[in-house]
Amino acid sequence: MKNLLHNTYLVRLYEYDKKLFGIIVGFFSLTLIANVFKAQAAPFFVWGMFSERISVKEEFQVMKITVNDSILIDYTAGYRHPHRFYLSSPVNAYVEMQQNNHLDKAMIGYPDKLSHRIKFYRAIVEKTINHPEQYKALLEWYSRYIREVRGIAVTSLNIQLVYCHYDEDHKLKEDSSRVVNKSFF
Amino acid sequence: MEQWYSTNIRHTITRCVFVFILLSLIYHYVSHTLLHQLQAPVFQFAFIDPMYILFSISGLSSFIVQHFWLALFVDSCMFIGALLIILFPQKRFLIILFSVLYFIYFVIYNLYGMHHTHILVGILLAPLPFWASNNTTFTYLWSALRYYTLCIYSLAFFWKVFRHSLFSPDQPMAVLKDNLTPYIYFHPDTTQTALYQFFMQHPGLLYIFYLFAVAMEGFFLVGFFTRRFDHALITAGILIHIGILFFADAFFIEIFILYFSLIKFPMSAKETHSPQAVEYTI
Repeated sequence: MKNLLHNTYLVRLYEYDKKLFGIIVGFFSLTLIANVFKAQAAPFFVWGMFSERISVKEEFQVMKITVNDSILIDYTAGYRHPHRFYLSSPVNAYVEMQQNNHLDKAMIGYPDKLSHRIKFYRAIVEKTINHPEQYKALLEWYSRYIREVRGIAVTSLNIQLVYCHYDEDHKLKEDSSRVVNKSFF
Repeated sequence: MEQWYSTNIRHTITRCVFVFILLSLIYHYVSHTLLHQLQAPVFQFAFIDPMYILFSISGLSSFIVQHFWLALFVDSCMFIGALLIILFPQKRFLIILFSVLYFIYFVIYNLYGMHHTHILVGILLAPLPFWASNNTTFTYLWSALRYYTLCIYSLAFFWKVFRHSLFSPDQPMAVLKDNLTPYIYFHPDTTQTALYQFFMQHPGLLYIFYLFAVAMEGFFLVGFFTRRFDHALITAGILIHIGILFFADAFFIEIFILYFSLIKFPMSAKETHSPQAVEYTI
């Protein structure tokens, strides 16, 4: 039994270098704590992707981005994944912010009253959330990024939300759509 | 004390890891997502994670992305650093410098991408064992990286068990529709869309695939007790990520760098008989 224990990684590591043992065990413990409390703090990551129990939605919304009235930015295919991340995620946040009365998504669930009472907390929030100025500047940035990716000058940008559902045969059917923003540069 | 990994093997592993990193940097360059290519983004998502908050309130992230030449300098240093490490794997200060720069890149990439993805975590952590000043410390750190790889999948397994999503037959259908509806909308007539529709019409089959994927995540727990199945774990990991790519549209190719820690690199006869060459368990 003693021999078996001696053969373990942790015991050997402890015997080899107690400081290194502390660093490695500390790192793993903090990773575990981050996971237990679902509170990520890089480099202690939470590995719970796709684990949240969700139910099948009835209605879906698809973001449709058109440049210069004719070029569809197909962020679902045709681009590499890092491209797609930057072509869709910031615009998604823009749409969310619009739907949330121009309030940053980080503020959802944080009551304004409480944040006003804690000065330090409020200061951090103010420094890290997106403000209306950033909201206004986002589309200009997006047009610059499209020029970087596609090599075309952007004269107009149209963001639309398409609402759809799956029918009984699981075919996607479009219900309606609305323009989120149409900008000219 | 004799060493498990010789200097030669350590250098081989260093080169393998940094060739992978260099390829990833090239992939990000052609994908226009290096710091100097981000066009000074304005939206950020710092909240929730203290490290991102620190970057944001210190102004470091915005200072780098708002200054094109500085961003280009950081990107160039990462490229040249990776290249020099491949040529001179014994230069530890280059590896330490690279790790710091990559950490900055990692945070900025996620901060302005508006989502804290784990795609680059492997590249963030894989260079750390090479900080070791001697090969025995390297051996222990390299093993720690292997245990971390096992942890990732084991935690993913436990998350699905404790959140009961594993026992919900609707879960894979919900994930599929949530993530692939935009693709289906833009590409209604492709074979891929036809396959998704097939799986939607056969939810039982979809659930079996899901259970199989979660079981493969659970399989990583075996790695804590023996190294015998390490190559099978690599296969399981690759299959899991092919599944995630197809059914959830999330591309985790860069996490594969961690699989180097599951590969048995050849050792000389002397090393095989060294006291360190005993199979570890946790």
